[in-house]
Amino acid sequence: MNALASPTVAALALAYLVLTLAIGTWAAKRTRNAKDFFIAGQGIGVVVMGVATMSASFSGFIFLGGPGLMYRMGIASLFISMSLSFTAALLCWAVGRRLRLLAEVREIYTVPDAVYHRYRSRRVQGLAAVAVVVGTVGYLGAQLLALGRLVEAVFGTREMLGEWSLPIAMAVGSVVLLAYAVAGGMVAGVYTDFVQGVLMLGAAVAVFGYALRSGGGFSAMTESITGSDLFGPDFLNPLASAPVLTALGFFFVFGIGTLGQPHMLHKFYMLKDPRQLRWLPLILGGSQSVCVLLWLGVGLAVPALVARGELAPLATPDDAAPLFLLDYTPEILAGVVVAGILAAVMSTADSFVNIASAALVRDLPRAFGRPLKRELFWGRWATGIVALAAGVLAYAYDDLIALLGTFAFGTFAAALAPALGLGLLWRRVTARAAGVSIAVGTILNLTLELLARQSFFPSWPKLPLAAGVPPTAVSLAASLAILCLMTWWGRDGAEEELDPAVERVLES
Amino acid sequence: MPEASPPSRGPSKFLLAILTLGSLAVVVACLWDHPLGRWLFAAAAVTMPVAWMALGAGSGGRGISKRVAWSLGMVLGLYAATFAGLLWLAGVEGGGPRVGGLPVATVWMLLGLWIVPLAISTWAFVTTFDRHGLSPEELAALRSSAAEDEKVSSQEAAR
Repeated sequence: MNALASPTVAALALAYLVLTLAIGTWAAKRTRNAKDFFIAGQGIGVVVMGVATMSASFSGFIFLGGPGLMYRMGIASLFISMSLSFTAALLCWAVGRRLRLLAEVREIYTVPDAVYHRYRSRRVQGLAAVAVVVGTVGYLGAQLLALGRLVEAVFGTREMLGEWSLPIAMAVGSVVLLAYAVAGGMVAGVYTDFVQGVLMLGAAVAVFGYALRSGGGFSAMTESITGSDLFGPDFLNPLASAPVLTALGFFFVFGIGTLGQPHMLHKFYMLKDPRQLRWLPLILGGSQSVCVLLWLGVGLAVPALVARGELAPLATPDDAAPLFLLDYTPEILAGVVVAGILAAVMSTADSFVNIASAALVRDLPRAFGRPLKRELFWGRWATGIVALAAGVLAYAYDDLIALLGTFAFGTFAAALAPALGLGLLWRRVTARAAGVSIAVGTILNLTLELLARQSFFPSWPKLPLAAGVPPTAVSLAASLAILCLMTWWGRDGAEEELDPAVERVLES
Repeated sequence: MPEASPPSRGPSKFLLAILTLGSLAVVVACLWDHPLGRWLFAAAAVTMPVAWMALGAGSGGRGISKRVAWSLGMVLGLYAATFAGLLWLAGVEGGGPRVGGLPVATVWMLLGLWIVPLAISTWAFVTTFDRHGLSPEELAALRSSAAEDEKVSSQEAAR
């Protein structure tokens, strides 16, 4: 079934897109300068920030990619989200307070800005900006792929357009995304993130309930799944359903790697009162946990329904969530949830479009000593270029949303988590160590991903990795090890001179 | 000019050593296709996040309060016990007996890696924010230093 046979679902999805455009238009009127465009005028409260951070981090990657990945690899896929048990507290303790205080004493709009003020090096800022652009193209690609798959499922374009369906669906979604991202910048981004986050929370709870009901409860779902030949008895055994190193790698990368995610770090600059950080782990960790219910519920229900023969085996695992919604929930709920998933995808994509445009028009020109005069104007143009590159990558990648998302998350993690997450805590880390760590993280992650996926050149070397290791785990660990070793053994403990205000923040 | 604050104690070398050795252990485990590699990776994966949280909480010479130390200790214990249990249950077909309809391995993962440590780490952060986060006095002092800096630099610019 597709939603064209269900006008309610299509109407609600369309209504949501119109609402998004309306928020973009409203926000455009409130965007008067670069501070508004990039950090929402540094005027948001902790509830809006927490929910917006959740919706920016929990995107199509989680809502569509999560159930799809669970269908393919079993319950071990949840190791991606298990680390959320500590990521909110880790973020706030390790980097949140200091990033927010840096934004208090210096004009900081982007993550590379913070890198510059910490290390006083335009070269390191430039390297961070390059890493941000590379990771953003990947992450945005995952969102556009999710958007395309959702539009295909909801509007039934696959039957009508054949092989052109996905690129056209991605293009339609991108146009709507760009319309409000270009117009409203981060004011639009943060408020749509908040509205979308609230929608996602409601959707996750409702769908979890329906998933349990459709599957007949945990016992019945477990019986069906473990008794089927397709999934096997170990589908629900966390360290047996997939290679152990895959599960451990997910826990490691998605845990520690959070310290390098610009779409999350960037939100700290926007908080009006730094003391409100106290409540962030509660809001962020709590809301993320609620959203994981959708992954767990649909991830169990769909294999159970397939095992019982009530649903045909999925040709594309990423169809798990849309198929379940359209076939097993009431039309109104399906419409609201489809809008919720659209919300998740759009909010993350919007954050990335803005972050990448900031890296292109603000950080890179400054790193080369040639700041642009009309950042706001060029920022709007840059959003279009980034979205186009991301769309091309997503179409060429041709795999699960979650895997593209993992690559992008890993790029940010490997490049930025050590230099920022440790650099803000360890005064001895030098610009040289940070620069080498960022460069190694970015290049190693790209190289390992390319070698792991490429099939054009059979003679190229295969990865010398243990079975199941996500390449991003290696690049993150290597980047961190290099930063630590260079700092322990570099320059006999001599510390570089810092801006006194930044020094005070690091000492706080 | 504002008076310079006395230099604070640097970050704990013990915690930094855990992060350094942990990252090296992960690299080795990823390259060394051996059953011991998974234990090495698991040990690094559970200790590194806890060490990093402790480093952040104790930064700026604050040290670690008993409440944070106990909380992080409990989180570490839970992670270690859960990963050890899951590695052991990986050899048991179906993930062991059912608890609440799910295999015990799944329930253990959901409670030991997600819900219980989330509650502990969040509680520890919220209740120790004034000591390990940002006190009103610290924020006021930082803002006043920043204002002084700005005044001095604008006076210099005017000259």
